[in-house]
Amino acid sequence: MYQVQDSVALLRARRGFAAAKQAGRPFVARTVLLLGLTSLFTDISSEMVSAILPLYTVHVLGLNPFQYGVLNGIYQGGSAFARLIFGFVADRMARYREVAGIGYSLSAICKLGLLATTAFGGIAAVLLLDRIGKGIRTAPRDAMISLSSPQDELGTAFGVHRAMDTCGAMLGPLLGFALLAMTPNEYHGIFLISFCFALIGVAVLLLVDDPARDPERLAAAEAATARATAAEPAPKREPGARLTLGGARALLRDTPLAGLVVIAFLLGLATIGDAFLYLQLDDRLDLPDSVFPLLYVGTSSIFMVMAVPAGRLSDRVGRAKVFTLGYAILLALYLVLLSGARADLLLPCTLLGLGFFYACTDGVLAALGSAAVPEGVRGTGLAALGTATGLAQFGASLAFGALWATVGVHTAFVVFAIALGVALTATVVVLLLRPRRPAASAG
Amino acid sequence: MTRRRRVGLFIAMTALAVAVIVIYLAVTVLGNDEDPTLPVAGAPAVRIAKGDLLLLDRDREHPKAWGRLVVIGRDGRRRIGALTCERVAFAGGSGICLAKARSLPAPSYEARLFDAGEHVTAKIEVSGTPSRARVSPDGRYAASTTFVGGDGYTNPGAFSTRTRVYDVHAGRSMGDLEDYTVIKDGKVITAQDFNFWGVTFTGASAQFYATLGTGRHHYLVRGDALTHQVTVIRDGVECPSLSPDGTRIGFKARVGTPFQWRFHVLDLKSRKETALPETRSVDDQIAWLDDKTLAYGVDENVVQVPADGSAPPRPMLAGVTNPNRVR
Repeated sequence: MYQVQDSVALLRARRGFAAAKQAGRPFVARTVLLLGLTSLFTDISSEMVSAILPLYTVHVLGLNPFQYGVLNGIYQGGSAFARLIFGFVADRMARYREVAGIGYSLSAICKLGLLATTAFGGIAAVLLLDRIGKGIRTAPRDAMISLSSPQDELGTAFGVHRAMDTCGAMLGPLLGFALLAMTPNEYHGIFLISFCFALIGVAVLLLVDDPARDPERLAAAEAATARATAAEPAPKREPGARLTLGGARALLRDTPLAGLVVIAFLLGLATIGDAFLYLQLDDRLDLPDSVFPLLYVGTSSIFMVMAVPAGRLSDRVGRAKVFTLGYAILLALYLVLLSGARADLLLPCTLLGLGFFYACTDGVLAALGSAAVPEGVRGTGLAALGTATGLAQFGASLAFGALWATVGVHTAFVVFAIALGVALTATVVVLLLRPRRPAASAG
Repeated sequence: MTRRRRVGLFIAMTALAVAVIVIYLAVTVLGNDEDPTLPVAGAPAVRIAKGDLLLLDRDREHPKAWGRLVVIGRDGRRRIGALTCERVAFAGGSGICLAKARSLPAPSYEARLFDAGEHVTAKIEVSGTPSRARVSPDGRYAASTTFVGGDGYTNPGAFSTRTRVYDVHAGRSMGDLEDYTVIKDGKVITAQDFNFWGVTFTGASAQFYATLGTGRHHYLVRGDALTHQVTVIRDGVECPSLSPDGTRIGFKARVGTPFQWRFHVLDLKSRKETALPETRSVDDQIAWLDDKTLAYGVDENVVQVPADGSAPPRPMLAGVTNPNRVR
């Protein structure tokens, strides 16, 4: 494992944190809860729009399916590079809250943009900006979560954040459809309400104290890091010196991040998108159409409920173990879907499998990344990890779609199951078996 | 910014957002009062007779009537029906109404088959959101096209159409066109990206014309719902609509890059195409009012145009869509 597991150092870090926050501190840091709230409101805002957007574009604006496809592509893939750039910018400025605030605000303003334009080009541009906003805010937000939490509770902190985030993502579409049912065809009203929720999200962010600007915490953390890494000092940034691209590379080079990025990329390449899994499920069970949206709700519910327990477990038994377990569950799910398993088991298996998979991997990967990266480049490092995963999953979707069209869905599943098996083996070797440092024992 | 000012700003922004949400909900819920001149849902159904013009309400002034059936008799009298639909078609004593079945947790739709008294005789769930509806001249068969792949939870990326033919008397589906055998130049062809839309019935049993989209082609196909077979006829024809005398097909064609739709009329015998003088790009399945006149919906209004393209389109009715002359 990457995080400090030496019991003495652990005890010291705990004591230092307890002293800073005093006794009776909450379950997770206040900053984590506030960022969770910001994400919750922002997700309500964005998901209520993306839920009704197909209806709006096709039925009200009269866009054709092809144009909608273009729009959807923009919506899905627009944020990867913004994330990387602004992860670095946030590190360089050491102002995570402000950079995240720009991202959240941009997405909020985009909801008003939807009120202003009804042209295809206009809507496409607004959606692109919205996704760029998401790219801008993700890395600094995760950096703030990691910097405001003690090393041995990173998994829990990210678990809490992801649970709140997912809660918003589930409420959003319900709210959007409820508003649409109440006031048919008043799409602009829904965009206005969506803007209001985004505004609340930005407002909550104002209450966050940027951990990068907290001198007390910084001093304590530096002292802890110095103690913990006394045996093998990590490259450290000169105080006051601005981070450069070369500097970031140098700081990240000797960390376990590179291995983690490669692993995340490989696993992402072997991950079949949820939608394809549901389609496969539909193929086997011939589900009624109205059940389809409930599959997403079911998976998200399990993710939401399990995110915190999985995060806590990862802090206790080791993040790499829980992370690997998550992908093992995914592989098992592929095999169940491939096999002639009993039909009545397929639905619960898929929902539970996917929910557990997300709970064990999403926040836990961010925690793994946080523990692997020095503080000064936390944003850049987490952005690299996120971008690698995102790009790989995007590529995987294209590949799976192409395989589906050419050799059929069964073969596509077999190919991806084998690929995931290989990637999982690599994960076990790199994360669990290969001893990183003499001082840090696995687990 | 000091902490104090940040807290102040937080309170101001949150208060503003909550106030807007509350005011919006109050205005839409309270201000959405039923118009006393409109029949409420479940009101007496109207009788639909030959020669009537059937439409769907798109009057923004009366949101509660949105989507309701509008029946205009030959005497010009306008009645509001009991059914609420996204698309509707009626012929030969039978109708199909593509209607919202459920709003939550996500909108779902169904095809409601109904008779001349607006009595629903069968309900069949459809995938996706309604796009086109048609009934055969004898009222024996109906067809629906829906867009699939579009709500927040379901995002397989691709957006496709699903088209299905119904046996009205039996009140059941006769299967999706995607499962039909496709024949082009005498050979069976298959492709993953086949999409069908815009059925128009010929009047000979279960035979119909429709569009088959694949790659960059938009084929006019002629098919039979009893033999589950379609044959490619020509390229560049979307949303065909057969004239009452069966000699011509009104359709939309893609022109230019990025493309715009333009309505045309194809003479089936001479294969001559006549462009209709509409300057906007309109997405509708054009309808024949009689053998000389076509009608279509644009921006919540209906316009009519002569089939020979001799005169520009002129406004016909406002606040309605989905024109359909009952045959």
